[in-house]
Amino acid sequence: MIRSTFYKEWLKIRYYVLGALVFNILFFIYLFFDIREPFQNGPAIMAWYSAIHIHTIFYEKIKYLLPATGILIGIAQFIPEITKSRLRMSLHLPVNPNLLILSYVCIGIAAVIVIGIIDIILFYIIVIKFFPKEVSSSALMTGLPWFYSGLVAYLATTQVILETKSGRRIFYAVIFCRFIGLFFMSNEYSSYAHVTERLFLISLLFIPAIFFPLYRFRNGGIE
Amino acid sequence: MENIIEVRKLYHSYGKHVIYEGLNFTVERGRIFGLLGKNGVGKTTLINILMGFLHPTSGRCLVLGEDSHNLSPETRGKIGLLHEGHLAYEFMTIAQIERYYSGYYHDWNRDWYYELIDMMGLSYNHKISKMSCGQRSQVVLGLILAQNPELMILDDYSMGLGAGYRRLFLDYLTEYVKNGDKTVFVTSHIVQDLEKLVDDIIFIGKGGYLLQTLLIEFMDSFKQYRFKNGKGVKLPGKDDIIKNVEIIGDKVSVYTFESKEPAREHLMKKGVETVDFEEVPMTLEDAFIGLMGRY
Repeated sequence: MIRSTFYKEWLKIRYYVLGALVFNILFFIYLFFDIREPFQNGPAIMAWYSAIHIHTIFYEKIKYLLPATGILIGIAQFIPEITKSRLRMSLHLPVNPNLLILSYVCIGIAAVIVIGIIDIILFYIIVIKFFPKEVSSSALMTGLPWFYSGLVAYLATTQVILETKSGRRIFYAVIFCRFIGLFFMSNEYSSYAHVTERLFLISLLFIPAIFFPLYRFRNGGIE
Repeated sequence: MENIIEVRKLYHSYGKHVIYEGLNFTVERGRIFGLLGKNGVGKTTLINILMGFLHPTSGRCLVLGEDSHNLSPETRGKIGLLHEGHLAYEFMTIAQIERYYSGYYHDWNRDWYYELIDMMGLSYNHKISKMSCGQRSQVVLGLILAQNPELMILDDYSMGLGAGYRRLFLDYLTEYVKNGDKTVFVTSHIVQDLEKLVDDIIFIGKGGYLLQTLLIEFMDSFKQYRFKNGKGVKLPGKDDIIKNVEIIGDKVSVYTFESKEPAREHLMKKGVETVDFEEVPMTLEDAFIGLMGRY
């Protein structure tokens, strides 16, 4: 059963996951050239001055990359399920419906995490090529909340899509936008260093929230 | 005989719009049960209630002995469900969808599936999204048959199907139930198809229950009588005996469960002149329209 569930979800999202992965890799190649450019076209001290003394976040362009990836995977995974109320086909399978939907979400989260880990590795490799370890570690800490926001964006998309009532959809979208905004509030180096884990743990609370729209779907939401 | 489906005092409404009011019926094991009603009377709503996708306002629905809204995974595994419009995962191919479903069912019989698929002459790598409605119906029927369910619930299987695919569907259903231990609950808007298939029938109209009967009894007892509609002839209205009246040209048709002479006497008592009074043979479709009305 687990194999079948994984098989179906993979068939559904594989092109989107692979497309998102390719796009993310291309974006980091672009970031590499973007960071290299001041080192090639002027004295390296200017790049150093900009990054260290005036705290320019030279990798800011990747900020919304993983949230966009999370939204894409959420859409790819759950729009086919709600179109023509196909979720009924899943809910009729001889398995616990809550566990089934949880497994769908876990598969989506796994896809976002895999792309996120590849992003983090590429990011670190690129930054450490031009800057010392201390700056690279700090950049990683600065970028970590953006990567976590990818998971929240995925869960938010899932919940908004599965919700059966338009009013609630809008309510969830507003709440999630505000919450995701927390990950992008500060533009200072490592400003989230002490709250990143807490934000991540709070984000995990959105996983069981998926069961609320599922409950409503099973109680007439398909009409 | 064991009841596979049991509906008692079912009440359901959407706001003030009442769909069912005190609906009662049972489906026994080994029977083919047809649910007939005009569009909008709530046939799909009833199937959604039976499959636990909708909570009725009140009443009791048991499917294979369990509350329909809390069917266990084991019980769901015994029910083959065809969703209206032959729903399937369109991003899959013929082979992929079979592989996917086979992982969920212990008694999976892939031969049933591929027997139907091979008739179409399509590659197993053919995508479901690129199939016609008829081809998709064969995929869905094949998946349900491969599941080998005790109970089959088919929500308007005939939707979008041409005569050939409908006949194929019926032939396979007939073959499937021939041993007598399988039960089928079916709705269709092609009434004439059900005439060849079902044992029991329930007619539902607006507001809920109208009539549950054996098909053969219904066809024996429900009659259409026709007489001439001359100038000045008083026309009958509906009552406990006259279920429906239709006027076409100079002919009046009345539908009733009464036999010929009592029906004629009843009309005459009401002051209706019955010139050239005769019984008209009916198909199930004629009888359906006679009982439920045209509109």
